[in-house]
Formats: sequence, C-alpha cells, structure tokens
Amino acid sequence: MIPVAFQYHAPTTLDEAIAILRRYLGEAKCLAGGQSLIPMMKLRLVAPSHLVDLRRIQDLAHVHEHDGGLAIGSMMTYYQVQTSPLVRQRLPVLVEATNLIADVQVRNTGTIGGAVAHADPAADVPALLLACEAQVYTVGGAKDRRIAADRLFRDAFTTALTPAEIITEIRIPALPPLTGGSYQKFAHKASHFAIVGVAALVTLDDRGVCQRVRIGVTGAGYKPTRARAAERYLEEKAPSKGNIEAAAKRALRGVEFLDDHRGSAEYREHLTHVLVARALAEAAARASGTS
Amino acid sequence: MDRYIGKPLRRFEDERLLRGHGCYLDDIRLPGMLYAAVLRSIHAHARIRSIDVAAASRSPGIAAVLTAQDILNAVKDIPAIRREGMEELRIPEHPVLAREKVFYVGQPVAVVVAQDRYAARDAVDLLEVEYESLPPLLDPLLAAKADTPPIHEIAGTNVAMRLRAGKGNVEEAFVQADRVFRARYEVPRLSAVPLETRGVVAQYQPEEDVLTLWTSTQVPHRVKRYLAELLVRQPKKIRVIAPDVGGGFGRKIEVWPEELALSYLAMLLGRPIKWTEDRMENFITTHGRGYVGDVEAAVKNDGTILAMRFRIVADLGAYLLTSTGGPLGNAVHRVAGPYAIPIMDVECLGVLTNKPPTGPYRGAGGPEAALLTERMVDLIARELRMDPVELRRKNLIRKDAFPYTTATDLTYDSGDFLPALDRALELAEYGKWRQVQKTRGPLEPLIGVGVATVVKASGGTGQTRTAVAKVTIEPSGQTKIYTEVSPHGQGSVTTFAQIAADVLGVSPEAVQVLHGDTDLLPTGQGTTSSRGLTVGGSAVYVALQEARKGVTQLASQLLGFPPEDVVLQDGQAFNRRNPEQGLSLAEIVSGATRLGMLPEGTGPGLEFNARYTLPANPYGFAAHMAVVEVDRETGNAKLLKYVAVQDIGPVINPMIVEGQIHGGIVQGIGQALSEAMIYDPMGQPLTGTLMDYAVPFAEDVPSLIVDRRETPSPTTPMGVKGIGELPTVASPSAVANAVSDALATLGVGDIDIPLSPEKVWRALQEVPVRASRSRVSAPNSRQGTPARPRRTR
Repeated sequence: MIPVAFQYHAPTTLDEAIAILRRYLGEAKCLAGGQSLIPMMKLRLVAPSHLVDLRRIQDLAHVHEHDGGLAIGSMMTYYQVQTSPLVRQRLPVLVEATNLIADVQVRNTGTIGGAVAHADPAADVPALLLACEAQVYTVGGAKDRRIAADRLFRDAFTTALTPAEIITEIRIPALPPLTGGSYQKFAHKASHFAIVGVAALVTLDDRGVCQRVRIGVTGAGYKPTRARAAERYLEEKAPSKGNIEAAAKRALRGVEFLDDHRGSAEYREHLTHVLVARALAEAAARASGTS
Repeated sequence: MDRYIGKPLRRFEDERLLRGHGCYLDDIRLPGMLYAAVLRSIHAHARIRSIDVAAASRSPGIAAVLTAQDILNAVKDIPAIRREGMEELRIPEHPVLAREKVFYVGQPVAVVVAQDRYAARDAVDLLEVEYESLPPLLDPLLAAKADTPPIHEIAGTNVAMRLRAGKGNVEEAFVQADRVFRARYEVPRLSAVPLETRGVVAQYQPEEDVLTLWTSTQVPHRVKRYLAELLVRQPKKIRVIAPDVGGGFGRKIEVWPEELALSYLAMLLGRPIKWTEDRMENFITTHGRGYVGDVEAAVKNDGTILAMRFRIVADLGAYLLTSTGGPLGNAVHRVAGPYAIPIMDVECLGVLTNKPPTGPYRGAGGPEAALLTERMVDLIARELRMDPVELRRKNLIRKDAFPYTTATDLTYDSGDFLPALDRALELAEYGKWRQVQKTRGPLEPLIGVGVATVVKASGGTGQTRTAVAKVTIEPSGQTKIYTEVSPHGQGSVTTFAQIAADVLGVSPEAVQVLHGDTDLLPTGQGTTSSRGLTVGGSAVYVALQEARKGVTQLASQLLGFPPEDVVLQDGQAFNRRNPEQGLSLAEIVSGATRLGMLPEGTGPGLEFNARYTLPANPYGFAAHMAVVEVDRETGNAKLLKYVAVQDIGPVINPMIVEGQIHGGIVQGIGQALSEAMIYDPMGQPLTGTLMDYAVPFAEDVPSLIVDRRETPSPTTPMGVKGIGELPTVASPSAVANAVSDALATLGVGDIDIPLSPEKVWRALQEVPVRASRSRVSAPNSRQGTPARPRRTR
C-alpha cells in the first residue's frame, strides 16, 4: 500500500494551480480531499507524478445563495455541506445524501468538487446533482465555462473536464415550490458505496399532480444517469402507488448495468426499480407535506 | 478467598494500548534497519520460466534481492505437521520462495531489501518474472475426484487428507428411520482480518551469533522451533519475541515464509530488517474455513435423531502449512455437536487447490462443523413441522449423562444444556417473536428467528494441552508471573494477575505478567485452541499454589508459628491468631535469603515452577438466538435482536469474558451475512481489500444480550473452561438459521452463506406461488405441504 513517488504542490491561487497542471499536463492530478485518489494511488491503480493540492486556495470552500438557488464551492467538505444552515434549509436532501457517504473521517476531508471530478460510478453526490440539474463551473480550460451535470459524466472515472481544468463551484437552481426530494441508497456492505443510489425531486401542482420529476441514478451503470423515461412517465400524473411503480419500471431502460461481484447486472436493475419507486414515493410525500 | 476472581476489573493492558503507547511490530525501529518487500505470484498456477533481478538490483537504495535460487541449501521448506489421515501422502512442503512453479496468487516469489520501504516497494515492480500460465484447479469437489490431474505431481493426488469418525450401523439406521433428510451446505473461505497484519523484524548479532526475531505471532516458541529446524541453527542461538499483537484469530499460529526469508537476510546482510504485511497481502496469503459438506440425517417422526452421515470436502489450498490440517481433524469429530446422536458416520477429505493455504480461524473446525449440523437440525424441524427449539430439546445431551462420549469419540466433561437454552429463549422473547412472525403482512419485511446450540472444547490436542509457568517473588516483594501463552487480546495479563492476587493475597495491580518472549521460559505452545486460561492459566495456578505453599512455609519458619495459622493478605503473611505478628513478602524474601533457607542455586528471590498437563478438554456450551428482518424487495437481512447464553465454568473476569463473546458473535455475523473470499475462474482473488470483503460494521450489529450459567469442569484445577472460540462456533449458525427461518415462511429452502442481499433476493425470486400464501413456518403448523430439500446429493 505504498504509492509510486510523486511531487506534492500546494498552490495558494487558482492561477498558480492551473500553471502547475499545464506544466505537467497529463501527469498531474488535483488533490481535493484525497479520500478516493490516495487509496487508489496506494493500490498503484493510478500513479500521477504530481499532485496539486487545492486546499490552500482561497474561496473554493464557500456556500451562498445565488438566484434563489445554491452556489457551493468545490472544496466544501461533505461535513461543511452537511452542517451549512443554508443547505439544510434549501436542499435538505443533499444533507441526507452526504450523510450516507462513507464515514465521519471521509466526510471531514472529502469534498463535493472532488467527488464530481473523480466521477466514481457509485458516488452519491452525482446522482443528486443530476436530479437538481446542477451546473458545474470550471477554470483552466480553453475558457472558463459551466457544464451541465448531465453532460459532465462520460464514463466510469471519466468526465468532460480537460487535464488542466479545475472545478470552482457547483450551482444548484432554485427548486420550485411544492417540491420534495429523496435520496435512497442501497450500500455495498464493505465499501459502503452505492450498489444503486437514487435521487429524486418531485414537484406537485396544487391539485397534487406531478408537475416536474427529476431522477438521478448512481451505481447502476458506468456513469450516473438521469432516468428520463421514468420522469416523463410520471409527469402530469398523480403520484399514486401504481403510477410510481410503473414509472420505476421505466427507469434506466437500455442502460448497460455494471456486473461484478458486488452486484450482478440483474440485481442492479432490480434495485434501480425498487429504489426509484421508494425515492419517488418519499419525494412526492414530502412535496405534499404528508411526510 | 475470592477477592478478585470473578470481578470485572478493567484490563490492565488497555490504558497503554488505547493511548497509542503500544508497541506493535511496525513500531519497532532498530539502528541501521533495512526494509523488505515481497514479490508475489500474480498467477494461480504457472511455471516460472525466468526471474530477471537486474533492474531491481540496480534500483536506488537496494541492499539485496532474494529468490529461491539463493537459499536452496540454506533454508528448508516449511513442513506440514503430520496428522492422522495423512499417512500415505507425499505432502508438498511450502517453499519459502517459489521454485519451478507457483501454485496460488500471493505465493512469495522474491524478497527485496532496501534502505526504506518505498525503495523496496518500487524495486518489486522492477522484478521481471516470465510465467507460463497453467490451468488452475479451484473447485474442491473437482479436486476430490480421482481422475483430476494432481496440481503437485509429487503428491500424485489432490486428496491430502482422508479422515473418518463415527460408530454404529448407519445403513441400518437410515433404513429404519421414519424420515431421511439430505442437504449440502457450504462454508466459504474467510479472511481472519486481524487489525494488525503480519510483520517481522529480524536482527542478527554476529558477536554472539544470536538471531532475534520479532514477529506478530500467537506462538513465539513454535516459531523458534521451526526457525531452528529450517535454518539449521541451535535453538539456544535463536530468540523469538511477540511484541503487542493486534489480533491473530488462529491465522498467526504458523511459521511463515517471510519469517524465514527475513531471518536468512538479516544474517546475510548483518543488519536488522523489517517487513510489514499490507492489507491486500493479508487477504491473499491465508484463509480459514473453505468447506463443502453433504449432510444426511435419519430421524424418527417425533424428532429423535437416530443417525447422521457427513461427507465433507475441505479446500486446504495449494500447500499444507504447519496447522492447515488441524481444523479438519477437529471438524470430523465436532459435527456431533451437543446432541445425543448414537450413530454417526463422518468422512472428511482435505484437498489441494490453487488457492492460498487455509488453517485454523477462530473456532478451527468448530464453526464449520456446527454450521453443517445446525442447519440440518433446523431443516429437520421445518420438514417435521416441529419448533426447532423443541427438536433441540429432544436431542440435547442430558445433564446426568456427563461425562458423555459422542459417536465421533469426543468426551464432553460436563454441562447443563437445557437451562441455558431456556434462558436464551426467555431473554430472546422467543414466543413473542414467533407471534410477530406469524402476523407479518404480505408487504412487511419477513421475520426470522434462528437458534444454534453448540459445544466447543478448550485446550487442544497433544502438546498444546501442556504448559509451563513460573512465579517469582523478587527481593522487593514484587510478584512476577511468567507464562508461555502469548496473549493478543485475550486479557491474560489481567486475568492471571487476578488469580495471583487471590492465591497470594496481593493486589492484582502489583503483579507483573510477562509473556511473548522465548527467553522467559524454556518451552511454550502460545495462545491457541482456547488454551490461554485452561492450560496456560492452570499452569500459572499450579505455580501460584507452590508459591503460596513456599511463602507460607517460610513465614511460619521465620515467625515461629504453625503453617496452618499463616494468612496471606494485603501483601503480608501474618498469624491468624495474632495479626500483629506478620511479615511483608519483601521481608520474607530477605529473611529467607539471610538465613539461608532458599534452595541451593536459587535467588536472589523466590522462584516456583510448574508444568501442567490438562488431562482432558473442558467443553463449553452456548445457546444463541438471532432475530432477523428480511426486506422482501432488496433481500437485505437486518439483525433485530441477538441473545447469547453460555454454559461455561467459573469466570475470572466477567468483563473480559463478555468482550470475548461480543467479538466472537460479531465475527460470526460476518461469516453468516457478508464475508467470503471470492475467486474468479482464473483463481484471481476478487475480495482482496476492505472495500470488497465485508466485515460487519457497528451499524450491522444490534445490542448484544449476553448471559451465562456456570457448570465447573472437573478437568481443570479452577474448574474453568475456555471461552475464546465458543461464541464464534454458535453465531454463524444462529444467524443463518434466522434468515432461513424468515425465507421458509414463503416456502424458500436453505441457501448458502454468506446470505448477502443479492443471494437472498435471488432465492426470493423462486418463491412457489401457492406456498407464499399458505405456508407459515409457525411451530406445529399443519398448513401447507412439505417442501423437498432443495439440494440433494
């Protein structure tokens, strides 16, 4: 469990960090908490020659209101996210999801931007960002840009980020009134990563009919994925048990499920349907104020 | 007088360990120390065409690269201990470093020594081994077949051991039985997952020609014996020290290739060398368990078990380490369990496969045997529509039958099983849970109640039943106990001090317990086989009695009153008729020395030696009950309640005993629900990290309800019985039976451990439609039709 030798950099500004990433293009990786990267380095699954620690850069760990939604700095630790009064008030489901990440030690150090950039196919946060239709802001690429969450995740551990690009902020648009959220996770007994995790947001109209449904699924396939067919099915329908079951059956049709000793493709597909149904039911109940 | 025996004293060991002041293997730093890393086979079975060490040897900071060629005439292979059932076999010995072939992923191929552990690890990647891959043999049932080519040509077979036990006419019993049941159960390979992995520091002092080995072991004396034999050195020129050891669970009772390689290298290089195993190495180099058993029972309609037949195949791995054969030798007898089954026929085959060697893992054949027996007992109850508790009650050995000899030739010393079972039922609120189970609606989680009743011997066999001990009283009055057991979590330091305190009338804090160093005592068997208290502690007790006698005698002589009037209390010996007349232990030692009352050649203090042999193993009994809730949609089984009642001997320290029981239960919960070493079809381990191999987390374990009853053993001087392994024998079966009980409410038959959510979910997919509505596994239920056992031979 000893990594290959690497050089450690601790820049204090974004410009400095970008300069280092560009100087060692393709050989350098950002260190944003290190709760996934360091174990992978110790197993020699990855061997970057340079690590650029983002912790000393000012202003990457913040959270504030933006256009009625949230702007969360990429270096916010899970613990900081969980304990932020603003997040608790605006997006309690994000607090619930981060609560289920690993253990206290990891949550004290791991960051939300780190989770996004690492793109573990079983990470919890990406599912929620998909359901929230979050925007990811970056610097260091050809130009500063924002990337929609569902365009960011490309494959297992693969994102749309270029090698010198750094995530600075994640923006989550304001949720409409009468919106409820839920995160349902079935964790692997050893890793406590999701075998399948489902984030759902349901917005009801004043008749109690689903107006807007958003579902993000993690763990099931090679990347976190929106369950659009299930969303469409339930929109304009009442969140009855039957409708929710029918919607859940449509989740991730055609997606290639992961198939390994932690869970077969068949089981992951089944769990996706179970957890989508549970997440939709809880989100709808919360939207209507019955839960 | 029992002032301290039976009291829940806090462990003296803990403050130091909990504050981080322990000295585990990796904490040892010696001047000029070098570091080793091991290159291991990446193939389950392959021929080594060549090993190119050139690049590694040139790597910065490298002191040595060692391959099999370098030690051909210097270090012998690690022999297996010959056991019953191995008479005819030419057993392949485990080479310290692989020669022509490798036989499992993880087998040591080369060792690199460098200035620091980073350089050593980097150099391992520079070693180039050219392999010719060979087809691996992984399935133990295939290995047991006569026409399967042997993995070791020299052995001529893959069947390394063939053991039998039993008595009576089993065929006739099966013919006469009202009902016959058959099932196959698997007990997968498990990792022991000690918090501290293995590790070695070897140091050679040429001026004295002494080799000192610090190793994370349970058995320092055994390691010393093997080092002497395999390195061809005089035993007196070898010293083995077990520093603080962070858990062993049986997988630290071997002598390992790394211990031999480092010893050789330390002598070669003249510098101390350290090797610390990493977690992945620990996962892939040795396992416990690995059994498949076909079980048959001949039963009367009233639930009386007439006879049982077992055909067990154990996956021993590619080699037999020194204790690999041990668990199978236990299991062949232990399948009899706590039941009065008059006729038994047991056959066990130990087979060789392309996986790492197995060996004893907490319970050592006991949990394996119990799982086969206990799951069958539950199956019988289900099929006969009897309550599994009632079925056990009918077959458990009665109190007046002890000493009881089983049909597999084990003699149980003592016990009172039924009251312990009744107490477990009461604590578990058994009737209430059966009611809850019956009233569960079709959308609610299933409820299952599981029972296991088991026995476990403590003490071991042969030499492990003998221990030596020494007690000294220093000129300062300080009492020291030298023990040959090598505790690593058992709390022996505290327990032995409590015994000394009562026997010698001193305070337990004033007693020093020394262990874990072969220079302390001439021989030793270490901490194995639940022998710490029953054998090691008994030897200490006998030595303490000698000390008591000696001190009493001296006090009587020095003060001039009869020995029967001497009272030992508060570190003093005084006259019961005249308490003013007394001497401290220090005064007794100095008085005796001054007056020449000490035996020739002893001193400056008093010294008392004992050698104790346990005449027969004491047996503890456990009745465990588990209540689980099974999510019908995900297959997840969650423990709601756990009750463990032990029928054991008198207890020295109830807090330590309870801690042992907690740990044992939790290890068994892991075995039942989540733990298994999984290999892919090429023999690559898939569960080599703690991200893959699932030990229970705190959230997986309910608050454990533990109680005990006392039945002293007639075989130990204090009446004590060992407790270290007993709970681990019971808990896997209790939990597996609970999940099976929940599934049975839907008519689903037994599935194999670990009962992971996916496996349970798959089983639930096979629910017979009618049964799911009509069959409820309530006691004495008359509903439904009996399901056939799902697996038959």
